[in-house]
Amino acid sequence: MSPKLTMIAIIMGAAAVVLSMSTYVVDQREQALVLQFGNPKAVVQDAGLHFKPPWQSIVTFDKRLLESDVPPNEVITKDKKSIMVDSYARWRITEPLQVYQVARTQTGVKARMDDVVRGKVREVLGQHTLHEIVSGGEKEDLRISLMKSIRDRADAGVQEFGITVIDVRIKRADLPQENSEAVFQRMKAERGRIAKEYRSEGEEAAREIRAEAEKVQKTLLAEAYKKAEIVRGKADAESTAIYAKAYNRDAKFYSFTRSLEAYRNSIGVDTRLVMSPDSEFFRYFEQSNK
Amino acid sequence: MPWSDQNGNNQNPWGKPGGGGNNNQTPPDLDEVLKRLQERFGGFFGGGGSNSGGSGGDFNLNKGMLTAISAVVFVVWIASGFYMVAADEEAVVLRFGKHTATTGPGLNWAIPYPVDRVEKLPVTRVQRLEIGFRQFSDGTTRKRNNESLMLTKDENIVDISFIVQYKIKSVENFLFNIDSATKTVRDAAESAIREIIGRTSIDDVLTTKKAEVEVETQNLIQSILNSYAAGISISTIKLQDVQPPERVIKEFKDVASAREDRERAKNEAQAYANDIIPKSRGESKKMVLDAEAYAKEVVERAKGESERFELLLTAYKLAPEVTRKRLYMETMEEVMTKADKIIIDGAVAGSVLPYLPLDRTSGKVEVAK
Repeated sequence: MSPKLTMIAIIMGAAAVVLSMSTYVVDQREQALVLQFGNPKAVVQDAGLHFKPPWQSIVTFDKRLLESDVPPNEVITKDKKSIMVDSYARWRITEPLQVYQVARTQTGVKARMDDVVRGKVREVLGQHTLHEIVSGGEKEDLRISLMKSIRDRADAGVQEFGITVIDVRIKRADLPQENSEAVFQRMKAERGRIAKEYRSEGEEAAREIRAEAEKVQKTLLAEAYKKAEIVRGKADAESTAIYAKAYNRDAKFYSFTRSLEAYRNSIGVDTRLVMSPDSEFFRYFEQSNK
Repeated sequence: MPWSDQNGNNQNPWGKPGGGGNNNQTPPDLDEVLKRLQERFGGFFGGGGSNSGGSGGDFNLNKGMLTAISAVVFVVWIASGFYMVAADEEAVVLRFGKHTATTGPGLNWAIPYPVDRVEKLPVTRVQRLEIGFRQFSDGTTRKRNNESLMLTKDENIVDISFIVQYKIKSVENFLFNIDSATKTVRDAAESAIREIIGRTSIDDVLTTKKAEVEVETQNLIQSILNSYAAGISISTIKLQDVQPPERVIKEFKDVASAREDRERAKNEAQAYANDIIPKSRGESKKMVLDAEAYAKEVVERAKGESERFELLLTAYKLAPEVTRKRLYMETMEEVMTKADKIIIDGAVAGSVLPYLPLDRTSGKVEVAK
């Protein structure tokens, strides 16, 4: 290679170095703070390729919505119950310069924000009862307005950090261990009560059904008995009338034939008769022409 | 890089106007590009060569080699800009970090490194998050009690695990608006389900309102994610296990069996009713029919007997005295034939009667005078 060519290569190399020092890329997801010997000079929000003097340096911050899982927080509610509240926040860096001044890094400012959010969670939830926090009490949207008020207060609290809190939501609001124990005991007792109630209800229904059936049974039988007796009575009356009508035609003859029939029916082989020879039957027993 | 100086001034090394439309990045005509390169570099080197004078052949060789190497390197560089987007993906093109284009499936081209960067995302793939439990690759699952236990409206504790399925709705929002998709969805889901369960009583959660809980939770997660402009759409929420906490599960099962007991008691009683009512209906019919049979019998007998009496009476009236005698004698004959008889004269009866062994007789005693 000729010296000239070498020269060209060196010049181009140097140019490349200078160029790389005086350009920087800002990602779509980021925003940049330009520092000159540590002093903030400018904030660059636009993504793309940018230029700077080689002696300036760049600090980038996230531009997206950032998550923060706020550590669980013990809150004493208005009704003096203690609950563990696990919440999360969504936040955004709006002023990289302030972030840099307050905490230098994103992690630093996040830690400060977490503290603020935890404080506001305690502050807001402390004014409400457990029932209100868990289920919103009587108003269904209370929980929502609680979270909104935490967010608003937290947002106001982090104003000077150059960030904004977009949302704070309660992930969990759980009872501490010893309270859970009490809840379990209560649940057990309540279930016992419900089970007993179900069984008694079953017994109640069963007894009612049985009694109802027996009532139907007795009614049916009684009605049938009544009907049968009437039928029998009518038949007896009718037959009596028939007999009376017939026998009345000659009552003497009736009593004669009926007596004969009664003798025939009542006197059998096992009957011993002690008789006097004076009776009608023996009229001709001792003499032939009486 | 031989052309890095030109890069510095113009994003496109071949001097075309910057990119035109975002979505029509067709590869430049290679022949044209090479020709223009040769013109530029050739002129540069050529000019140098003529100034130095002398060794023209040597330089020509150098010039030729350089051109060839440059051409090959350039072609390889250009080719590295091709990328495939699979059918279930979308790709985002970032030019020096700035979002310039979003491309769909197929073969695409972007300006190669260091200008453009391509990020591909599976947009149609449904992704899945487990809350309250974790499933491992070998199929086993493990409960996560701190996620699954939650308070209901009536301050009971319920154990719920569920699956969230979501997909990317907007690649731009998904990439540029939120920092961690899984974390965002998980947080929103945990918060949403607790809010919904906190508004529902334990009995409703465990029995009738599961579907409602799913729908409401899905809507709430979606509206939270929309408020973050997360570019995520929730496909479904599936409640996996909804049960009382392990500590009290026995009591809950007992309630269920008590409910069964209640139904069983009712059914047994109903069976008893179904047994006795038809039977007594039959019995009562039988009673009435028996009575009717009796009535028929009694009346018919009466008719028969009275008819018989009347017929006899008619005949009797023809010769009353003789008939009377005959009837009497016939009857007495029949009776006397069968019966055991002791005939005592009336005059001695009083003194004999006490000594008769009447007690030995088994049958009836009739004293006729």
